[in-house]
Formats: sequence, structure tokens, C-alpha cells
Amino acid sequence: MRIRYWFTIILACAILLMAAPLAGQPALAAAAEETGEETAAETTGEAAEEKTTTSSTPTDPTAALTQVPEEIKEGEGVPVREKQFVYGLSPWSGTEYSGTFAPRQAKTIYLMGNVTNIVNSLRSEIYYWPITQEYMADWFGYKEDVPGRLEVFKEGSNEPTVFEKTPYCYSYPNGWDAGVVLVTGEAAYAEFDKFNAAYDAFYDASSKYYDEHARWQKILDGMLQRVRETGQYYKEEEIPKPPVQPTAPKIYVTEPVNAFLVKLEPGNYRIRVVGEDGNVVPDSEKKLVVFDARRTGVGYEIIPESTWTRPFNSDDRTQVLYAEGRRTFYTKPYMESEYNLFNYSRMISLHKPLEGLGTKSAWLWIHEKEITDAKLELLKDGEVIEVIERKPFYVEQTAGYGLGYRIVDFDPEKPEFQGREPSFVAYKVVVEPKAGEYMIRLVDENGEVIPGSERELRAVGTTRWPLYTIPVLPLLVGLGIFMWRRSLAGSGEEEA
Amino acid sequence: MSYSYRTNASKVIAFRELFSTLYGLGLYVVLTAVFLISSYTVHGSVFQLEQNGLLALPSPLTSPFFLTVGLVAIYLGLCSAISISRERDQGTLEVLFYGPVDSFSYILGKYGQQMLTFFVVLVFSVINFWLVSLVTNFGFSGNFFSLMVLSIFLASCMVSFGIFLSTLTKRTNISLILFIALMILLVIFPFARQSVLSIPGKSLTTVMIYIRIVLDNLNILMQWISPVAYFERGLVAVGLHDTVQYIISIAASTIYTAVILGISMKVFENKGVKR
Repeated sequence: MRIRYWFTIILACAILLMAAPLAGQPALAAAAEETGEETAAETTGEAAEEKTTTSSTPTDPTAALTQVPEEIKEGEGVPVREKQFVYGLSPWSGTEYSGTFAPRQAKTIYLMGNVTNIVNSLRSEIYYWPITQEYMADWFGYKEDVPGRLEVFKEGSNEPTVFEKTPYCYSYPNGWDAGVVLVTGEAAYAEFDKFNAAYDAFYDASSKYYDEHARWQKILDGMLQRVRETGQYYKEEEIPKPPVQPTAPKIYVTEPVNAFLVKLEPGNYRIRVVGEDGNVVPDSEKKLVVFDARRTGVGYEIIPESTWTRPFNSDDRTQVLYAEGRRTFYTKPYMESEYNLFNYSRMISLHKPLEGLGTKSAWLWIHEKEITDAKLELLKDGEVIEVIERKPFYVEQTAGYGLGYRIVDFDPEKPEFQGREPSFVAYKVVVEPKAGEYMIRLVDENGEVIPGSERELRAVGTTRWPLYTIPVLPLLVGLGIFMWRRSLAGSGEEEA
Repeated sequence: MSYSYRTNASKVIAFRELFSTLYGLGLYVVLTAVFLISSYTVHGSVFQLEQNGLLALPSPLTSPFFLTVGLVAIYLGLCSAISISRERDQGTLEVLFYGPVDSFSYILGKYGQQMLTFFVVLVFSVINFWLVSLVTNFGFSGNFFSLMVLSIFLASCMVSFGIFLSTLTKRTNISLILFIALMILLVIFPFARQSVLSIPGKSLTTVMIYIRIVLDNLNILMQWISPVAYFERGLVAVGLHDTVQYIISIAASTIYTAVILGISMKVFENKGVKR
């Protein structure tokens, strides 16, 4: 009876547990519960009918990530818009400045600790777009800066840390895809001026080049005319050299804008914006979770020569690199950190209320900064057998209709590589691990081993039949014991 | 009954049943079957490596080892789950308790027998994986010893859990069904959760999001109930080289065992030894 009673209770609990979420408001209700956010329905219900004012186009490139597309703003699927206070967020993600924002419905903001994150107080028109399940802002249509100061209260403290708006810009010294530098304060304007000056100089040089090229072309046309008329050719040294076309500067700098540059220790905080009139800006009070990495280390991106388009990662030093026979691989080492997946997902996608839900106990390795100034050592039985330098490589498609490629050293001086970029820059390892213990590791400029960079290399035996004969051992032992016991019993009976 | 009598009675029960287990064929058949299953997973890693030529694997023998000790721990838990209810069902328990045996010594004896059996299993497992390592050259990770120690506590939790279930029921069949059902739930749960977690955010339907949230909340509950969860905590600590967390995990498993055995003794006393 008791079992039946308990079974009924457990069954009822299970049904309630499964049915409860499905009975009410769909996805967002649960999401709101999880993240402490309001539902989209509230947004649509309170939508303001204010007249939209157009502001200047945002210069922050991360705003484009959350900008509502034009096609969404027209047609039958027009979402209801609401003007509201939002925190524009450009959190440092370990590799770049990401772009998201905290609408009124997001009650908690997530940021990384001990790094500078960009937080801005803005007003914009916010949409909830159910198809992609995310909030979007019409930054290009309406964006208003909300002046004031940011007050940050550590949990349990009433003494705020105050942040004033400071000018900042993103500088990409080696181009868009080669790393960003945050420049703050007056230096941001200087950096922007430097960028403008570089492009002005480039345009001047280009203009001069086109003039010189036109003059050179004219001279060349005259010489050709003379050759046609006289039939006499010029000597090579008599032909004028063409002018050299100037190369565009790689640097790109965004226009400086003002925002709060927030750098905090890990912990739980409350934040709010206090306006110029001394009052707290409505809807600006939120929780702030500042988190840190659980652990750090050295991660490798490993590019096998046989499958160079399918690289894999080795993020943990406990991972052993197993190889079958002689293998060539290329590796790119990174400084890496491991973050809580929920915190990290919420940080970079706060405008997506469902992002990261159910991942509080999961962890994620992020490759943060490529290690470029180290040497890779290959060791056998603890002895260094090869020191490998970082080099550029080029992937060459083999001639003909068949698929295939070769990975060759990239030498910019060789004519076949003129005007080309290397496919990747990495450490090339050629190894055939046999008897003995093999290992790779990184050493810095001082010859010191970079902690966490060690990876063991092993060759694997691929003979399979012993795998299925070894397990029979216990059965043989058991049969042995069984026979022995039977023989003892037999001899006992005989003696009796 | 004095403490020395009780421990002596426990010892007698434990060793008598241990030898009974070792002289039979059942344990060896189970071990062979479990090792064959784990060899199949090792074979999977070898095959994967043959296909790719080069792979970064954390420790290819750890998962098969975990599988082996996990399956054996479940088997021992199952044996524990049916042992008390079977003896009660058959009426032999009542006869036993006419002697100098009480609930404390009986439960402790049952627990001791299963743990001693597990030590025997561990010896076979180490020999098996050492031979597999020689054949494949898959290395034992540096933390293999820590995992081995941890597996003892997994078995301890599992056996005590089985004993607890066995004391709850009077019928062997019910113990058996209850234990299998709960084990399926406890073992499958982490895999189900991991599968749902691995679905990328963009591909999640509303129902899947709810399942994720429900599983995430259930996971908190499981962390306290499931013997496997205690082992997983230890595994994480081993992975992080966190000695403090490792010790905490072992201590938690010990407390779990002590609490479950204590409750089992109480339940056993209340239920009595009669059919």
C-alpha cells in the first residue's frame, strides 16, 4: 500500500513538473523566471506611440549587431515598438568587444571582471522579434544619449563607485580582422585624428599617383608613337619606371563617443544611472554580475595536414595527442580561459532572453590571445629533439580536376607568392611517435616553459583482436576456481 | 549487544558471503561482459583515430574505466537491493536473527561483503586496463589513481543505496524493479541533460527550452540524491586538480553512505525480519 502511495505522489509531482511550464505563457515566461526578466508581452502592451526622432548614425560598430533589419520594420510582421531606456553594452568577450544591450526587460547584466567593458545609457526604440526570439533596437532610426553618471554598488554596500562618461574609440591597427585596441580619454581623439591623417595622406598620395601615372602614360604613349613612326626601339633603361601605387593604411579607427568604461572586480553589484538633475533615471536600476574565469591555460588549435579545413582544439593539458603512424600537423597556441557558459552567453547576448538558459552548470573554453612570440619544443623522453619556429604557410590547390592540396612554406619574396597572403601562420610539427615519451611545449623569449602548454604525444596500436580476448581473463579465473572447488568436493565425497 | 560482538558478526557475514560470491561463476561472467563492453568503447576510440590520423583525447581509458566501475557498482547495488529482501522473502532472515545478529551488524555485514567484492573487481579492472593500455598505447592519465580511489566511494554510495532500497521492500521482485528503474533514471539523466545542452541556442524550440530548464532544476535535486552525482563531483575535482574539492567529494560520499546505511538500519528495525 505504501509503495502505491509513494508512487502516486511521485507520479503527480512529475506530471505537475512537466505540465506547469506548458500550461502558461510560452517560452518567455520561463525565460523571465530564469533570468529575472519581464516578458515580451509586457513590452507590446505598453508600447509608446511617441513620434520617432532621427538621430545621427551610430559610429559604434557593435551597434550593427543589434540593429533591427529594414525588412522587419515593414509589412504585416511589423512588431510593436517601445521607446525605452536601455544600457548599450560592448562587453569584452576575451577576443573582441561584443555588442548587445539591456532592454528594460533584462534585470541582470553580465560582465567579465578586471577588464574594461563599455556601458552606455541610451534611449531607443525597442522591438521584440519573435521569429529570432530577440529584442532589437532601431539605433539608426532613433538613438538618444542619456546624460548622467553610473553608480555601482557592491552587494551589501551603500557606497557607490561612480563612473563618468569618457570618450573612447576602437582602433584596429592591423585591419578589421587583426585585433582591436580600446583607446580612451583624449587619446581617443588623437587616435582618430591619426587615422584621418593617415587616410588624408593616402588620398593625397593616391591623387599624386594618378597624376604621375597619367604623365607616365603620356610619355609612354609618345614613345610608342615614335617607335611606330621610326621603327627604332628604345633601350630598357630609357623607358621611364611607372609610379608606385600607394597602399591604403591598414589602420581603422571608429569615431570617438562617450560611454561609461566599467572595470570591476568579480562579484555581485547593483547599478543605476543618476541624471544631471540628480534623480535616478527610470528603469536604469539593474543587477550586475561580474564574473571571472574558472581557470586559465594554453589551448592549441591543431590543423592536421590531411584535413586542414577541419582543425580541432586541445584545450586541456590532460588531453593527449594520439597519432597513427607518421603525422604532420600545424598548431596555433592561444592563451585561454574557461568561463561559466550561462554567464558568458548572457554577457554577449543579453538582448536574446532565451540565450544560455539551462547552462548554469556548463563551462566553456575561450581562446583569447594567440601566442606569437614563443617557440615550440618537441621532446622525446624529456630531451628537446627539435625547436620549431612560427612560420607562414600557404595552401596550394593541386593542378587538374581532382581534389587535392599541398601546404607549402610561404615566402613573400618568391614570385609565385607575389600579391598573396599566407593561408595561416603556425608551428609545423612532423612526428612519428614510436617507443619513448613524446611531448610538445612552448617556451617564451627567456627560454621559460609557458605553464599549461605541455601536451603528450603518443602513437596508437591499432590491432583489435587483443581488445576482445583480454576481457575473457576473469572468466578463465572463475572457471579455474569453479573446477578447483568441484575437485575438492569430489575428493571429499570419495574420502567419505 | 556489545560493539565487539557486532563487528565480529559483521565480519563473519561479510567474509562468508564474499567467499560464496568468489566461489560462484556469476561475478566472473559479469566482469567478462562488462570488460567486453568497455573494450568496445576503446575499440571506438581506436577506430576514430584510424579515421582521423591525429586526435586530442583527454584520457581514452578513463571513460571505459568509469563505465566498468559504474556498471560493476550498479551490479553490486543490484545484488545489495535484492539480498535483504530475498532473505526476508525466503524466511532465512528470521532464522539468522535468532543468533547473535542485529540490524547494525547485519546491514554492516552486507555492506562489507559488497565492498570487499568491489576491491576484487578493482584488482581485475586494473589488470584488464593495464593490458589494454599495453596493446593500444592509450595512456593512463595522471589522475587515474585518483579516479580509482574515487570509484571505491562510488561503489560505496551505490551499495548503500541498494541496501536502503532492499530494506524498504519485502518482495525481491519489487526491490529489483525499483532499483533498476531508479538506476536507469540516475544514469540516463546526466546523458539526457548533456544531449539537451549540446543543442545550439538557435535550434532550440520552445519545448526544448522548457526541457532544458526542467532538467537544469532537476539536476540540482539529483546532485543530492544520486550516488553518480557524488562521483561526478569528484571527477570534476580531479579534472581541475582541486585537492580540496576532491577531499570534499570523498567526504560527501562517506557521509552519504553513513546516512543511507543509518536510515537503512532504522527502516530495517521498523520493518522487522519476518516475511
